[in-house]
Amino acid sequence: MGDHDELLSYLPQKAPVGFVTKVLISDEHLSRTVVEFGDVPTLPMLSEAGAQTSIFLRLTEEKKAADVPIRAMGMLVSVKSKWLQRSKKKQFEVESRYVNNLDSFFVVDFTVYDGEEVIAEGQVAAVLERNGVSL
Amino acid sequence: MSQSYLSQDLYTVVSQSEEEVVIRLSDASHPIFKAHFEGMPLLPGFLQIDIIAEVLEKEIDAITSAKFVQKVLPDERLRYIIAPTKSGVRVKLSNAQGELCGDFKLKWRER
Repeated sequence: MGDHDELLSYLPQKAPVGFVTKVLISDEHLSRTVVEFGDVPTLPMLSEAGAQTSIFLRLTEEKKAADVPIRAMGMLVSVKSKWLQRSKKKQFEVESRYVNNLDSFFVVDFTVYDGEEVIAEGQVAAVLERNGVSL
Repeated sequence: MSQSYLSQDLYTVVSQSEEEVVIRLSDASHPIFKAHFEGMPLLPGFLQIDIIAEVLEKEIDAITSAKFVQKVLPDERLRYIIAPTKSGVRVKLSNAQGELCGDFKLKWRER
């Protein structure tokens, strides 16, 4: 996919709730970002960062099969997550991995890294808008 | 209760106990609603959870499950019902019409 800085413009969440500051990887089934917070984040904030990182999954074939636009808006419908190790930092890297989808319902795993350490992990599910059907 | 940098002025507490919390959200001019999303102001799901933890001064260790079933809009009056479970708490969030907006199973502890 093209320039990673340009990809940030596709993030629908804007500051102060747009946590992604840099896109490191934007592949078909894997994406990785740098996320930053104005204070030490809560677990729900890290989970939101996981959801935002998943926006940079390409999912070309899956979206085509589900009649979902490449730049589809999505509504978060479920989350589960847990701390593995506490951190007082405000900047992390987040990786998201495609799990599966049923039509426009997509499930993605995410992992939050503080350097080499995994500090949180979880799963998010979202319904993406389909062509001709806005959320 | 101290509000986070994101929830500052985002809501006011109408009533509060350990079992039930009622809040009123700010209007659409709040920076959160301008940012999420432009032209379609909605309370982000993560803040639906963070607000109740903040009001009750809890720190969340795990989100066992969180389901967001109804959009939450500016100016809404919201009611949280909190019930203990075997492994944590279950929090149900509903709007003034009594519609369920969120259903959260959490593990939390005192701040």
